[in-house]
Amino acid sequence: MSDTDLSRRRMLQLAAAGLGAGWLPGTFGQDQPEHRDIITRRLPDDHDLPAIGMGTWITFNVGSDPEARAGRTEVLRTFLEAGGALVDSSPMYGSAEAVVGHALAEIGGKPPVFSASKVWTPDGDATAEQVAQSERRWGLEQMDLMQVHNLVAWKAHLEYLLEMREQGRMRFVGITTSHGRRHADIERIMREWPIDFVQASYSLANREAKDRLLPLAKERGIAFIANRPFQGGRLIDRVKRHPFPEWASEAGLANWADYLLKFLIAHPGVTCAIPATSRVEHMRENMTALRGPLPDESLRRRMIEHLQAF
Amino acid sequence: METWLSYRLTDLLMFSPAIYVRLFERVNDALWPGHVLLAALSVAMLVLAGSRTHVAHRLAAALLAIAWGWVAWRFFGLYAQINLAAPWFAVLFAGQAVMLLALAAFGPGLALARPQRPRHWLGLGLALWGLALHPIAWLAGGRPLAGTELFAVAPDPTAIATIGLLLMARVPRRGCLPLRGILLALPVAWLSISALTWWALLTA
Ligand SMILES: NC(=O)c1ccc[n+]([C@@H]2O[C@H](COP(=O)([O-])OP(=O)(O)OC[C@H]3O[C@@H](n4cnc5c(N)ncnc54)[C@H](OP(=O)(O)O)[C@@H]3O)[C@@H](O)[C@H]2O)c1
Repeated sequence: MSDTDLSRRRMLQLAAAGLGAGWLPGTFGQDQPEHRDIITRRLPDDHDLPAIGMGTWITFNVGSDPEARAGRTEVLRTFLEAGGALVDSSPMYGSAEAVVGHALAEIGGKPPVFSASKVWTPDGDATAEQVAQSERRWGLEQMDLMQVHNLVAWKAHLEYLLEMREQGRMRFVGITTSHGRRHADIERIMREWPIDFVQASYSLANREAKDRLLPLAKERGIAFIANRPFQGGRLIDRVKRHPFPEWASEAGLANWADYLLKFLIAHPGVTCAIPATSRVEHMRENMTALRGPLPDESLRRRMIEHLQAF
Repeated sequence: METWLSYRLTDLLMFSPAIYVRLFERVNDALWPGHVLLAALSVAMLVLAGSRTHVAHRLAAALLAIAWGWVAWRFFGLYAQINLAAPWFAVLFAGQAVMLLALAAFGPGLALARPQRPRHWLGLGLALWGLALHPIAWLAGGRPLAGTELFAVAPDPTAIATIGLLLMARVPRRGCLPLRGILLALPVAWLSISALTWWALLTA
């Protein structure tokens, strides 16, 4: 089969899957006037995805605690109201998927969420089971994106996920890591397998992904999710001890979260950055990165230099 | 900046300190007013263990076993919602409950000796710590009253008091079996896990 045949078939499948899931061409909720100005990136199926998503590691793992669940519902509501769409989780994150599902049900209606979870089990035969488990926990008929978490039993899972995608049982398939030492494997899979998404760590203080993964993602038309954008919180805690530079305000950046996130999504290879937070006020800060001008190359260099002095 | 690149042990922690502290509040909340019964049973256990009859010693060991079983079921049942490793910790606590039951059924039970040797005094100190001082220390450390860690409800004071009681108890060697050492192994293992967890939470 030629590449063109493959992509035509794939486009038809995506169109069918999209319609099946109630999708219309366009973006996620950005047809609302207040979201027209948000920064989006084109996905492999020609939909646009808001460039700031959210993670759920630690922050959404609160179990059945009603008080904490109510707090996380507000975090998710703030995210969606600000125009966000991609929510990333995993069965590895304890109760996080169930807490997201609870929050979505509380918010009600049909939240314009782009659901991204993972398959995380050494049992290569348990792929379908884990996909079904995610759908159940999120309360969704179908997940938008399923990723092989940290390349655990990746070959068996990837084969099965790609088959599910062909059958229109999910829209996108991806792989993830957060360790630089797995980048060579990730690169190989990106070259050899028809995946839609790749997720790896990329932050202003950890720019390893920019040398090979990001250019490769761009070349292969693979969407790139930048995880640990604040290095698990250490980076933002560190920078927040310093005054926000005037030159950054003049360049249109609103706060440190905006600074760290816009640096990432300004890279042409990045589709989405997914900071995690348990606090509404932090979510508001993070979502400022979804609007306004992005830094150009020279400003990005200055942003690096400024932080290197800390 | 480059030093920030490295991963730390704390990166493996899958819940926040606030949610861990909430766990103790929730387990207390679910038990209330059962705390009164629990205090009565704890006192009964001490009285029985300090008495002179063999049956009383067996009952004391059985009550201690129930405390371990209860923590395995209630505390770790809740903890399992936020920590994928918690079911393994529950197995550890259930295992200790089974061993204490065996001590009640086939061994000497829990028979406290009058403190004479340093081991006994150390045991007395630890038993007092686990049963009474541990919750007070947490309160002094600024934890809310509702989140107090109590013997037979929370794992740390249960393990500390058990180590103390075992050090005070008359546990004869069974042939070449170091019975006391075997009974101390799981409480010590748990306290190491707990210390690591707190260390990771506080330095995260
Ligand atoms: N292998 C994988 O697949 C993989 C690996 C790692 C991460 N991920 C994904 O990527 C997501 C993001 O990574 P991460 O959660 O590890 O780390 P992160 O997003 O870099 O940092 C999260 C931390 O930053 C703090 N924070 C967020 N916004 C803030 C703000 N505006 N001001 C101050 N502090 C702020 C949060 O604390 P507060 O709660 O106090 O705001 C939280 O502790 C994860 O949640 C997960 O979904 C995937």
